[in-house]
Amino acid sequence: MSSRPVPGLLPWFACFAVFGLIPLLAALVLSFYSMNPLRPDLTHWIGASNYARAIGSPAFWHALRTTGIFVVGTLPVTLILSYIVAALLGRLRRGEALFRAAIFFPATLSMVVISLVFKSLYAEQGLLNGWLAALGFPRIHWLQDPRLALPSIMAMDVWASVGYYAILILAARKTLPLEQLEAARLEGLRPLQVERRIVLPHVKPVILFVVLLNTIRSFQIFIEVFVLTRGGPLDSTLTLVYHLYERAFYHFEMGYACAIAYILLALVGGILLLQRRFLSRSPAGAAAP
Amino acid sequence: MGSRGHSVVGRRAERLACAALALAAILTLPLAGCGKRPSAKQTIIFWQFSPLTAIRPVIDRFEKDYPDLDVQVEQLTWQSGREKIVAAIAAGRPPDLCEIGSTFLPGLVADSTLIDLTDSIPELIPVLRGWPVVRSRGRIYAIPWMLGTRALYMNGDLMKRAGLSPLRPPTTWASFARAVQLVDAVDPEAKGFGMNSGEREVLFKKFMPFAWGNGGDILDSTLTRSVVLSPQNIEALRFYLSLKPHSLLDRQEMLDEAFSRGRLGFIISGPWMLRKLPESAPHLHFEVTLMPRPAEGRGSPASFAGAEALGVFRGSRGKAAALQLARFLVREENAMPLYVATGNAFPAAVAAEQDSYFVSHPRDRVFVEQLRTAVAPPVHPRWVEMEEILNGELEEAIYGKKSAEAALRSADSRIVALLNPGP
Amino acid sequence: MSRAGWALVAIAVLSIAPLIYMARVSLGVGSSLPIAPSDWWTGGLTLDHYRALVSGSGIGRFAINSLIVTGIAVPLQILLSAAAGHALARSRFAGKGVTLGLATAFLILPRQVTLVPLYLLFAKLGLLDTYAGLILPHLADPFGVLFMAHYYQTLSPELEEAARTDGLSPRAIFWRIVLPLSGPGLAVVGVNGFLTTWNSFLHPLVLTTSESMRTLPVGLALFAQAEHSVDWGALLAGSTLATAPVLLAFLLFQRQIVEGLLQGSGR
Repeated sequence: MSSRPVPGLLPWFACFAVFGLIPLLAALVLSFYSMNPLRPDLTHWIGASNYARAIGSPAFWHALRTTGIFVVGTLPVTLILSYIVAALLGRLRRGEALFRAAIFFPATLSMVVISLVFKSLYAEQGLLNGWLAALGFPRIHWLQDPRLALPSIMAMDVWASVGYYAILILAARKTLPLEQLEAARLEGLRPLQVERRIVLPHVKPVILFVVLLNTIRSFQIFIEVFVLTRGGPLDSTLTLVYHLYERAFYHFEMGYACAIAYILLALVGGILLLQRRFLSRSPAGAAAP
Repeated sequence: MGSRGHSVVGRRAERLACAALALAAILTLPLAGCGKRPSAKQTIIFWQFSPLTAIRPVIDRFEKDYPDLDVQVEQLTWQSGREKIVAAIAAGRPPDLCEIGSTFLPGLVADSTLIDLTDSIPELIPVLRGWPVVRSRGRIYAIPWMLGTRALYMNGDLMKRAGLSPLRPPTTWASFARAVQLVDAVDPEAKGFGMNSGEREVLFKKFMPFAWGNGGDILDSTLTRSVVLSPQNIEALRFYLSLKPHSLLDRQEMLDEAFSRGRLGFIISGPWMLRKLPESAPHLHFEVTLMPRPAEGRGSPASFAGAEALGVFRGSRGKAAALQLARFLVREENAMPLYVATGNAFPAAVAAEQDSYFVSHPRDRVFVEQLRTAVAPPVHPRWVEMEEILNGELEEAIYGKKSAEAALRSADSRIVALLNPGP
Repeated sequence: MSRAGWALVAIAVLSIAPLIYMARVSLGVGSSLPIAPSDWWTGGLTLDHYRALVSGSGIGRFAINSLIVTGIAVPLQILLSAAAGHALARSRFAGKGVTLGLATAFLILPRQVTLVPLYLLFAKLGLLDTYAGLILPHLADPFGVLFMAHYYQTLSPELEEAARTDGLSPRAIFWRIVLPLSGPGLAVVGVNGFLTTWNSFLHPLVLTTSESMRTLPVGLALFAQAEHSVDWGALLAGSTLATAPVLLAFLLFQRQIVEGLLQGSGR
């Protein structure tokens, strides 16, 4: 191992410094200012007031809670489903390519399009309610009912993410040497035992990666809310990023929005560190995201 | 794979990558400078929301009339136009002329982002309508371009089945409520009325017409006192909520959709439906009429008045040329084609009322008439917050979390607190 | 078929059902949604929406822009990610932890708050409304770097060390040894980069101002979504067309992603 930065890092880092670090730091600096994007000339330093305001704001806590429910509700479901789908795909003898493409398909759509399609599926006269009605059930107002709106968005999000993560997990499964599997089978282990004792430990690094990535993405949920519910009904889908979007672009409180963003950053960063500690027993110094 | 294989693949990859890098460098660097072609003409950067196919012919005519001016027109999206305008202003590079919706306008005025145009366009005052939407404390901050309002759509087939005649539309709250109930009862698959829910930002636009028609309002005429908790408002909200049991609750576009499928007796919607319905529902018999008034001889058939206005931002460089373009755009003969093409809002030009189009299209004419009794929300510096308060409280009332009176009381006290921030 | 097989069929059907739905609406008459079960069979079929899209929206130009941006950004992104990821995985230096932390932080930070600073930056650098402006931010995307750093951790360094003792320069090691072993990881980075670049909406919308610079998602949104209504037929026809290249890219790369990792394990 060499002890100085390798030149290989430089091309990316140069781009990142300009288009990543500058906005990142600008947002941090702005979080200590009162900044109205319409009147940049009036920007002034207000110390930690934006952070104090967020901590004291019921709307912020409500949005945080909503986001928390979303993350806790979707993450395990997505992970377990992805794992099962990957396991099923891994067992397939024929037609795997076709199934892989089908299952990966949702990942190829942009979130805007997915949200629009689901908006029509969830509509009062949409396909979903059409089927319910055909089966004799009453129509359900998926997105108009304050109790159902968030779960409906969560279900859509799970649908949209499972395929992508399943393919990542599948890729890791494929690196498992076949001899090892054969050996386990010869030892008389049942399929579930093989899965638990051999496959799971092997794909653990990728699972960790999927968990980290999914955590980051789930905390950022925005487009779904923007297209489907705008935070309603009765604030039931008001997520943190949607909340800060409204503060920034409707109330023009860019500094405050930046402070909320940085609280989110600290929170998610902390969660990622915890997840890494609990989920990975890999040697220290792992370059995990 | 042996090491020989590696090196072959590697060398090929290296060469390929170098080629890609070189290509990228060639492609990206010179392109960084393009887009600003030097030209003797003065360029006006104009941002607006209509499809380019609709606006381009108008711009072409302008450029022909003003050969020394060149217009760079850009279409904004309804989803993210706001972000784009805000980012451009923050960066000190706003467009020279910009279309601004009346809901966005008060925030811009409050922050003195728009240039005061009062003394630049006195000649336009008599020839355009819609000034209340763009006027704040006696000063004018944008030029009304297109005006929009909502009227009552009626499903003629459902009305006939309920024993009502679409030729005698309900004109009062009582007859409207009765019609809604009758239509709701006539078909289990149909609802009487389409009530907006699930998109907070439009709720007050749907309720306030009933309040305004009943003599109620949000602020008094001096814009210093809240009059939200008035008997007129409470009565109007009670009436509005009384329609709920017979209503489909959904977002506007879904209500429009349900109406076009013949599943709603009445909805409050805009003129865009006149373009859409004949195409999406050729067999639907529908009529458009004015909003109902509280009672015969009492109140008015009020509606919501919105506008698309043309504004000039502080820091935009070509104000004179921008106003030149604005004056051209608002002229009746230039604004009318836009209405015919998009059907969203019709010209603010007074002369448009006499346009032969409205003679040959009586349904469109209803909206022109409706505009006479339409009311615009107050252009108050804190309007964005007031709007949020009203929408939030109305939503609670619609979802049955609060009574009409409790919701308005709460809205009132929150707006009072906004108007009189404590010591 | 086995129970697992049936489960897989069910999942696959569930996954592509919206594609069928999109295709059905895009081929339907008129521009309405939602399509009720009864409309499914009764409504006529037409290519009108596709025709309107091709003739009226400049979709060709948008597609070319998207191809240019994706075609340049993705290969470069792959290369930069491999180089930087390898550097991060194989060396220890003072700023390494900080670099990884900042890269992760950038992934977490919501784009809504970096939009205005980014716009200012673009204005200063003269990048607004340019291809360079559409491409460069994608090269800064840390996802690929973090993924490749992770990937190289799982890859045994033996081969590289052997090459070093053979006297190969670090550059040669990277090009001749490391890169050829990175196929599967790079395929993931490539597909991910392709997805994010191709579907990117907010940045191209805000950071370009002329029609000739629009990318496919932006052009489609402008074409199909009006203030009060959405032209569903046009929108979903456009989405179906826009999704095709992504699916194609996946079909091309999937062997790499899924089957190539075996060679990638360094044996």
